[in-house]
Amino acid sequence: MALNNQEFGNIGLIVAVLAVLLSTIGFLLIGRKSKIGVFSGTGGGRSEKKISNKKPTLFIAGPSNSGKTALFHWLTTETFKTTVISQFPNTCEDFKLSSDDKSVSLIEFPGNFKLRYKLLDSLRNSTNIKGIVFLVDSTVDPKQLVETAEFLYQILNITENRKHNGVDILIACNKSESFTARPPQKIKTVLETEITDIIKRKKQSLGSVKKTADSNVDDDEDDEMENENILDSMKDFKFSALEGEVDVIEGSVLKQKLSKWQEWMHEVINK
Amino acid sequence: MFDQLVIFTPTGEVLYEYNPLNKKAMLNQVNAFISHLVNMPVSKKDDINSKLTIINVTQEKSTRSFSAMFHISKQPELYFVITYAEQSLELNNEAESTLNLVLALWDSLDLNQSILENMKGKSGKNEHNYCEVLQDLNETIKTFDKYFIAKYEDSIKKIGTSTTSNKNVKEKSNVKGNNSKDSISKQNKNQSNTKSGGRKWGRDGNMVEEFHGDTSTLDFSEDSKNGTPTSNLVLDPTFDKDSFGERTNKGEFLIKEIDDLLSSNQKEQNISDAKTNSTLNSAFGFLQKHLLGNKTITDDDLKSALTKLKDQLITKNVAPEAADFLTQQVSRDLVGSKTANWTSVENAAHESLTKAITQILTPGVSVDLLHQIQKKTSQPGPDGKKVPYVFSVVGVNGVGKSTNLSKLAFWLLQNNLKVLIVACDTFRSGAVEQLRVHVENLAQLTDESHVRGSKNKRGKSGNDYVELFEAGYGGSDLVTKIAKQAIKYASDNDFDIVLMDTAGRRHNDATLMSPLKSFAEQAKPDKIIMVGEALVGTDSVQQAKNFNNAFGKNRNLDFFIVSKCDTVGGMLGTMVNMVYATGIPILFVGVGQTYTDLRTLSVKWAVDTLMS
Repeated sequence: MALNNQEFGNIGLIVAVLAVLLSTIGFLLIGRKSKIGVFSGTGGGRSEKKISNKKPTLFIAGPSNSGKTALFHWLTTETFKTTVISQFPNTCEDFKLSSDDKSVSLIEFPGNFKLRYKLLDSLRNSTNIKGIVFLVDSTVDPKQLVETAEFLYQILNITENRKHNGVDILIACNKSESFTARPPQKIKTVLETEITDIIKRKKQSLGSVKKTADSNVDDDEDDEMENENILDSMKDFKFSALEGEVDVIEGSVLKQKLSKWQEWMHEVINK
Repeated sequence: MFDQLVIFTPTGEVLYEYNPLNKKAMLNQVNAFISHLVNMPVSKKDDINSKLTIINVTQEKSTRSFSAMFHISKQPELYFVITYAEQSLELNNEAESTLNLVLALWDSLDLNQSILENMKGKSGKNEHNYCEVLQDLNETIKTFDKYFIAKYEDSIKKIGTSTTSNKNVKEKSNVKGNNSKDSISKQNKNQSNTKSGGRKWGRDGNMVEEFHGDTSTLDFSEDSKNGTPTSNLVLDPTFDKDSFGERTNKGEFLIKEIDDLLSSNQKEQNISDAKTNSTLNSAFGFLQKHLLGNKTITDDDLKSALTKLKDQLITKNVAPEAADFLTQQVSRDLVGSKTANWTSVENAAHESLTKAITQILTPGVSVDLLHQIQKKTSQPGPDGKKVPYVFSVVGVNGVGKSTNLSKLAFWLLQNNLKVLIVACDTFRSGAVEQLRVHVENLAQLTDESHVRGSKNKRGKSGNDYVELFEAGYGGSDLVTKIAKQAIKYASDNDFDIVLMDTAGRRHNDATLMSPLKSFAEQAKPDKIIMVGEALVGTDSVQQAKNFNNAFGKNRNLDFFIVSKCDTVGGMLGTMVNMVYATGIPILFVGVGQTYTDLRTLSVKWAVDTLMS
């Protein structure tokens, strides 16, 4: 780039520089292809592309304040960091769980309602999802788990309706060190009944706006509508009936009781 | 004294925190601040200057509100936030000077550059193939901490001296009569405080009392214990290094060092600014911008693309101020970032705008209405009777309040809920009769054997499932009375839902808007719905704002119904306007004349329509 500072008089030089830079960019493009679609964390290059993400990817998701960012930092740096609400996804592109494991992209998405579309978009656009770690704050009163269930339902709606087999999900019940923490089995049954109710309510709700006939956009949404029926056809929602495997395991980021979660991740990564 | 200073990344990592009172667990304040920022990006803000902004945040589940002054740096994106109890001249000034100091120090330590490199993963990765934001920077952060605390406490000392000396004189009898800002009297006071409170020496007056928990041990303040009491404190609150000329100890050195750092950095910045300008106009830049991609976007690159997008938005009925806001979001998102390969700046801007609109239209809370209704109506009230779920519908004249209320009623009836429709429009002639027609229609739809005009067993219009509650016409006192009676009646007769129709009113007429407040306070509706028509255009910003403010400080609208969407084609700008103005979600859209033409909003549909 320093060359560009020179005067324009020497046209030959400029042309030469252009040629060199063009070919360099060409190479860069080839080299980068595999990375497109993975969000880079902050600042630079936040322009997510709609091109599908073909890299093996492990997602971390969950409602706000369930400990997602803390888990991400623990997994990537083995330190416990103070965190606040995230507004952008955290990404580690060639994440290795341990030095023997295959590398995957690890992406952690914010849980705020307004920002969930980022996760859902990304799930739709990824073809090689290794698994989703769905964090749940197990100290939350089971009666308040409706919103968590709704979020999980949104995710399942996408993962269960993919062309191949569904996605493995770990429902990681965080904060097990707290004395108000509910046992994972309890959380599982609550989530199941809540999702059953949600499915019931969805059927009673007003339909969403359909596209006008003249729009030339492909019918993504129609697909989705159709797909919803797969999940919605279950009268009594059970995780065991899903195509993807769902495990519910307790743990604690704060107290670093993560070995079971790590085992689970190890398994799905090397599957 | 401010509550805390926090520096964090948008991905949620806290890089630095400091709170002068040494309280613990204050981060929920920061979290409230962030969710406020995410949910209501355009709420009331006061820009102090191009850098700093203040907002007032009310915390959820607590009435205590606080103020936050913040700066968002661009490259890398970092949040510098100071929170404090309330806006007052003193606190605002303190926060402003502190933030300015933080920013200057942060820049001069070159933290931004190193953080950017770490974010891009340039400086080596650990065994998990990850590069921490603060990799190899912990030492620098420590330096920052040291410098900052030194400067901050020094500034407090000075501000304290100038602003509190009079107060001190009044409070402390031992320095009675000494009204001058003499440093000797200051020293006396400080010494007496040390004895009585056992507190840290080196701070004057009221500051000492608040500082008792401070763990940050500072060389210079300890050392100054032995400093000569004849030192001449200058009362100028600006950071003038000359003012320390006579004090000679370690703290003095430190502050000089910081000041040197700060001033040298300024020169550097000027030079680097000049440098970047010269590279702008290259031919290669042109190619990158339009064809190759992989270009670092600057403000100039975006200008033409953004004007184009803005014009497009305005033709879609988006108000100019909302369009301005959206394009600002785009430039915030893109300036300084790199376009992907083979992507022109225009495409990147288009993409980014789509995201901005998606984010603005996506509701910030759960909008599962049926769940909320079930939750409330399933629990009987204290007297054992049913507690109905109360909606009230407000809006400007002729936007379709009664029509959409009837559509809503139809949907609720389909879900086997018993609905009481209340005629709270006691003003416009024919309003009650119009509702009666709707009730008759709905009764017929739910029960084919219903005979139009017949009364139900309670002697009212309608049947067992849907009924009209009316009390004729009259003034605004009557409205509240009807509302209260209707809720009691619904509870007595086992209704699940109460739907209140109100009179249409012009949003800029205070005499018409003011009764809304007492109405909301008396009737306490669970949901206040504003109906706005898609046709209205730019005025919708003001409509939404005025209606949202009409219910007083503690009550807002709950959601919008945007009616007549079938009449505007692709010009859905009104939706963006209303959400932009208030941060309140659109739940339903009206798409036709019949009772079934009410739909939930699909954000994707709206965004696609707007962007096509």
